[in-house]
Amino acid sequence: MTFLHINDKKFDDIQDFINFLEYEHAEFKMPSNLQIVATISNFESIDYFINSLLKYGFSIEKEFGKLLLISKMFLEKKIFFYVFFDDRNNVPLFLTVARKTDDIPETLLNYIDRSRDISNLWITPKVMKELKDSLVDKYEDLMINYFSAKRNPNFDIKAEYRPEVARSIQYRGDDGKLALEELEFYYGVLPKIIEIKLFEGLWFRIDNKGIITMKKGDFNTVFEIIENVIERVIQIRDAIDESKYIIRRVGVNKQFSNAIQTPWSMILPSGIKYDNIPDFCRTIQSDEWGFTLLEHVLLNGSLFFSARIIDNNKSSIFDITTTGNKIDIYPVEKADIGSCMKFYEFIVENIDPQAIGG
Amino acid sequence: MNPAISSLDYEGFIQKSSLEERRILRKLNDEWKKYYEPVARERLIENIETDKKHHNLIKLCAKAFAETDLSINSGYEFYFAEPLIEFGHIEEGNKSFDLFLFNESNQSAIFIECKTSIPTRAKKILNEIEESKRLIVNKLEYLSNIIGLQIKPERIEYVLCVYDKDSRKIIDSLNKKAEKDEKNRIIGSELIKLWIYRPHSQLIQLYQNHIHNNQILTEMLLRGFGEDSLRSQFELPYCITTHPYRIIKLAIIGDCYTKNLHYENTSEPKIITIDTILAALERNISIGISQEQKKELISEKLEKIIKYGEKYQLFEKINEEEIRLICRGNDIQVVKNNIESKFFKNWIQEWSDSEAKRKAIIEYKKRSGIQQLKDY
Repeated sequence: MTFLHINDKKFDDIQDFINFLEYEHAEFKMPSNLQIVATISNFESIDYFINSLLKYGFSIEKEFGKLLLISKMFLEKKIFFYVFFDDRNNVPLFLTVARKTDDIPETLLNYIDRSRDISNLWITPKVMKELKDSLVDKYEDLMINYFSAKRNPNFDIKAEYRPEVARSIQYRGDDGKLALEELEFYYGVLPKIIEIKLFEGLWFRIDNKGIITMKKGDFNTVFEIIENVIERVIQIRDAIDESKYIIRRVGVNKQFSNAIQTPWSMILPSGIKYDNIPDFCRTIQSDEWGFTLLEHVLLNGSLFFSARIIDNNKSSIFDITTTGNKIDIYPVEKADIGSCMKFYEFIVENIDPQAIGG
Repeated sequence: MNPAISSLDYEGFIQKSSLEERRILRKLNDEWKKYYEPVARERLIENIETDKKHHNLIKLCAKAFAETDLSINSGYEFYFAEPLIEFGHIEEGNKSFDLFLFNESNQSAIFIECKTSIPTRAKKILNEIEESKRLIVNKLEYLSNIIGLQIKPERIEYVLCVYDKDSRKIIDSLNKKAEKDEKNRIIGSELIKLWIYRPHSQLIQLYQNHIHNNQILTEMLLRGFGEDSLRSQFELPYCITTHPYRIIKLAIIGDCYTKNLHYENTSEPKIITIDTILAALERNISIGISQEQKKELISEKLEKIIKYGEKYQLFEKINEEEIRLICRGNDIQVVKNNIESKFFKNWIQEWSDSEAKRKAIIEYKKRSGIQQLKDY
């Protein structure tokens, strides 16, 4: 369903679009099931982005400057999305009222999972906690009425009770703000999904894949939050962009060529330990993460671990090497942002929540 | 094991036997097959692990010269892997080193041999290196032509790189060899320089009593060159001599099949063209010969790899241009796991069956007092 009444307007700046949603569009009732899917990409321009959408089978229904109305058939019905391509930071922002249970996963999320050069806006547990803490500080009356949170015993995060236990919690209740603080303190969990209600008229749910379900208005604040998360995630994208794969020629006639891989790195303050490796190998290949460990080398008793990894969905390949406190990620032919971001999220959720791109 | 008796003998033996004798032989064969299955599994895993670790050591040595301070300051660059491998199959005993480094400014060369499993008597390893050195000396003109500069014989150095745990055995053997050479007044037998990879410290170090002709190289390698000083690496996923199953896994499944799944709009991604595999091997194998020779050598290698894969029913050649993977599922992880399980199962089956047949005949002979197979 096309739920915005745009006529022939053109948007060149995200702020124009936000203003349109906030003020000009206020006369229309905002749909109660609006989803905003924030992503991050490496598309050089909107044309590359459009090509990628077409290649996957989306149709471009209409262009409103940098805002596109696109659709894809699923179970004999057309699923519509508005998408704004913010070319300041190459961030495509999707808006839809399609069903979150099957329509969105089968079309948009599948596209993000399988296509090159685009990634979910992964929000790490640490960033989610910081985001929650900053909103709590800013909005005195803020309520959290739902959250899910997780603890991985490998984490170097304090827990008063049985820190060695892996646990996950789903909580519903108007006292969610306090409950989350208590559970963070006593059980050492970190949030993955939070539903936040601001009495100023904003009510939304945000999950760790950058999907925001709007329950009640105020686009300005929501886009501010998205912008804030994007700024942090872009640091990782910049680190990934540092990696290179070049063919180097040597010899008096430059007759010998070899591929040189320059990695991007993740610094792990808690470090990866020899005993973590079997878990690492098992979890990374689970359905949740969808990687294949093609081959790995672990030198007995030392911390040297190297592997060739394939992202099952994107078919992109990369090599990793770690010596404990740092993981180097080497591109094979070309680094894919989606595979790299997913690998970063895998490390943050399973090995070290404090991991940073470096 | 008695290599003089083969599984063919077993079949011949069975044909000439009475029903009762056949029953006994088959029973013996079944029993020994069960015995040999775990032996085969250990052997296969050990072979593949050794191959992986050997290759890992090669990569670590090459990495030290991937646009690093060591490479820039010493002037040595990594040129290619397995120098003179093209002569490997021409004559028995032709052995090649693993890596070739060259310093253009003074035409000095370093040949590196990496070893991962050193026998108690490391003399065998040193003898092998002597053979590799002989090939270098014999083919120096040929190699100089390939490089386009004359390699100066007096500026050639040979390096053996081993894991720290094996270094003592090599040092003892090197010392013994030096004593013997001195006693026999052998001149010109240059000492091999030892590099030691210390995994706990993540360093490659030159053995304390050794020095390189290049002072900077000596100083930097004595300090140790490790992960902290390294960033880039040469890709080098496999070499010509890599275990054929690892080439199948890395090139055919990991590279070609994965690309088929993503790029090719094909309903049968398991059909892979020989040209695609050749292109993958050419791209990934580092070798110091002309493009045409490389194509030829790699084609020969691929022919062997395809025969190997067919033998263990990992894929079939459907025509002169294509092969098809034989396994269930399409997902890359499922395909990799299914091919791996099948390879392990069939390899173990084949090896243990062949060993069991030999053993069954020997045992049967012993029991029935037959001295020679032909006596039967």
